[in-house]
Amino acid sequence: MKKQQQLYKGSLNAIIMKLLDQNGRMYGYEITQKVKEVTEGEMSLTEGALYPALHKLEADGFLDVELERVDGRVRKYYKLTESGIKETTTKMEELESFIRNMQNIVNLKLT
Amino acid sequence: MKTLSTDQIQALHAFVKKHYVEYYDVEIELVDHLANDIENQWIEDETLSFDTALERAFKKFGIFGFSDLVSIKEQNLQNHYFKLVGKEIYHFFHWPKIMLTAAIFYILLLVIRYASIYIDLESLYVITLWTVIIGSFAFMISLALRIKKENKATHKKWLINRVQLSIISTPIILFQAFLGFMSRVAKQSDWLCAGLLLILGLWVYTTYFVVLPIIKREKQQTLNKLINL
Repeated sequence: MKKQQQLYKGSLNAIIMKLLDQNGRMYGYEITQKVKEVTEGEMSLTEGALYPALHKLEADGFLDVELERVDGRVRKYYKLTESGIKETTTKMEELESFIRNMQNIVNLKLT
Repeated sequence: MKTLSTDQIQALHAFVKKHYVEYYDVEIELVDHLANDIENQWIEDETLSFDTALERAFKKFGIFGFSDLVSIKEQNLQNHYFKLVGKEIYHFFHWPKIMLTAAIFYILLLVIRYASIYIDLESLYVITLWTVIIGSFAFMISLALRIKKENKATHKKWLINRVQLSIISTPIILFQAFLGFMSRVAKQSDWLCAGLLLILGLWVYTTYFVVLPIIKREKQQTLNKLINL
């Protein structure tokens, strides 16, 4: 489990951007819960890793922010910008290529 | 579903502030996160006290709590605007702006050569650089006072304001660093001095007249979003 966590840390931005691509807009806590739900609790996105990643993507212009008042408090929603959508495609291609290469290495048969 | 009361939300704001988050733009996001976590815990166990649920929610932020988040966000924002300054300066060395840059460089060179007939170049550079340093410093102080007044009126501090001050202080640091060097090479190479003055001038122009308005606009956009809530 811990080793899996380490592996997916490197793909954090790609995961966040893919989730936003699929769900339109999301807030921080929702993203942590979605990762838990999708991986059936196998992986958890820590708060200490999520927010710096979100803020970096926002500063880089890949995410835009919407503020809304919900249940008496202000909620900050993140959504992909135009450049964020393009970056998501690039990041997913990189990730898929990485996974494919890893599979090839893992499935390598010694002849 | 059990939800947080207004008093409990206020308690969360106080809690976040108490844990070294002094900026409202960071505070609102953390308050909502803690609130969601607490409400989620109440789905599992409605009898759980607010304090226990809050303690559990806060523990998930790790041993450094919120302090890391604030410093990383500040660093990210600073890097973002520094990159903008760099990008703008870069344009001055590429077509078509390079023509303008070349013209400014040539004018600077002529001014230096003409001025050297009448005054000592070392003194000229020292006076020029100190004038800009003092001017920039005065501008920074006036901005800091305006921010302070704004914070007092709204009872809120904004991280973007802190970043704004860091960005506009960079030309001052750069000028001080160049001051000693230019005094040493003043009589050796007017080309080098014209080049250094050009870079410093571009840095000041980009920081104060290109990036600073962008920061102000982005800050206003955030404020407008909050006002409209």
